[in-house]
Amino acid sequence: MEKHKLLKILAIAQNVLKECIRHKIFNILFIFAGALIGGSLLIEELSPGAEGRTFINVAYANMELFGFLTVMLSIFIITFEEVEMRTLWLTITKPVSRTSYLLGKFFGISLVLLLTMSVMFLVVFGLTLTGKVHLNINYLLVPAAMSLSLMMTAAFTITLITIATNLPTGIIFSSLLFIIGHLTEHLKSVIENPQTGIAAKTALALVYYLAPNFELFNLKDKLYLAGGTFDPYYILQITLYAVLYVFAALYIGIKAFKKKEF
Amino acid sequence: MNALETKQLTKTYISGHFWSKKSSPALNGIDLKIKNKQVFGLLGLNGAGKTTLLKILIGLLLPSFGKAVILGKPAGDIQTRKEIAYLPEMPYFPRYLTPLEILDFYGKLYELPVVERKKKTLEALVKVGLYEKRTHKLKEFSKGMLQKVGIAQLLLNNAKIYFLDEPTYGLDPLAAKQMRDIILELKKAGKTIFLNTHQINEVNQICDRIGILNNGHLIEDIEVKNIKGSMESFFVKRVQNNGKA
Repeated sequence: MEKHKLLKILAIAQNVLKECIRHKIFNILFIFAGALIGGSLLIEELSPGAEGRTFINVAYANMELFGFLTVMLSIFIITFEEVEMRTLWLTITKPVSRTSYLLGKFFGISLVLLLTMSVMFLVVFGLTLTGKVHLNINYLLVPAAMSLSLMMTAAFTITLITIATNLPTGIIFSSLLFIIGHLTEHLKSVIENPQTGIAAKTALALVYYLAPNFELFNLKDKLYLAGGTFDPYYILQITLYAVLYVFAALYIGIKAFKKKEF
Repeated sequence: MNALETKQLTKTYISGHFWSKKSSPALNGIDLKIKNKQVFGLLGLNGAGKTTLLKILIGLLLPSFGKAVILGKPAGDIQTRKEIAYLPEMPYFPRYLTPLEILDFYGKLYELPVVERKKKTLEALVKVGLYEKRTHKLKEFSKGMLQKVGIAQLLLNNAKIYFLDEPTYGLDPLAAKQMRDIILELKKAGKTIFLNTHQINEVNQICDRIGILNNGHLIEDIEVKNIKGSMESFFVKRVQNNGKA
């Protein structure tokens, strides 16, 4: 990639990061995330004998929830400003391609997400120093996989918003896709059920193959099944899956964005 | 050489759903040529198609038919965008950035080297009188101050063509005069200017040539020096008679 193109993408990503971390809503979200993750320590008291495990499960579930909220809020804030307030008019009339513009937005949102996930993981790490859980590298792989799935969410949300005629429709569709993505294994069992009709099977199969399979990235539940270790080949596979999904989603988004009029 | 040229430029907006599409014509076969170093003022009533024409020229809209050429390249071409500067009617900027940051960002998009970028950013802020407020967040700015930031970003890339959409909109009389002085400076420096405005006084003071748009048709294209009588009565007559003298 040309040096100037890369610098423009970075400049756009940097702006997204600056705007998001300065936004009041994000400060409130950070406080809530910290409080809920801290609160996981209290919940673990309810499950005597499995304190460490409960804490980790609840803390990671909170991380995923707040990671998802971070992605949605950043996209909402950025898109609202860019499209509804027309800040994008001045940017895209400068010598920057629409491809670089959209990639810059995606990388910016990914940076916000990675920052949020890192801070939340540091809070979890700090709390584990109380001694009930001894973290190893596999505990770090759980939020890393979570971040990959949330980057996929960011990519398809950007694409859906680009294709949709308005911002709320895009957000609603991508939230639905996020939920379906967590239910793909259940979808599979419905498709395999002989009692399911042909039409329903076809429709569900379409959803199954098009929707992202977020269950693949759920290392939290596999942490104890795998005895605390993960197959590096599996990690590589899900990383490639995420990269391909992001690439495909952004490719469609860019194609749509190039035809978009303002 | 023409700085800008349109041939049979037509724009029709399509709205509604695929089962009940509605089309509303906004521009009808606009033929326009603007020479280098010329200051062209586009006049018209609300809804005449002025902003649509400007948006096609800067690449925010695509024509439905015909073509627009800027500096020898199709409108919207990325390389050509290095040579143009645009001020929208009411410029908005990311609210949580500062004037210094947003101008630096635009400088990066114009591929200006670091030292030049910093120098031009500060010069532009001094010129529009926002140097003291350079590190304040844009969300604290009034409409007039945002318009000044918009003017400052015009001065970054030493453009060949300036597209200005209602440049004095929201400005107090002093700032409006300052804006007109900046446009006159650009004119003196031999820049081509495409001015979209309702302010007939502005056109009188600044433009070499005017065009009048009415219901999507270019009903007049004339040198200012050839207009007899006042500009205002000329405009009113032309619009009322739909282009007939």
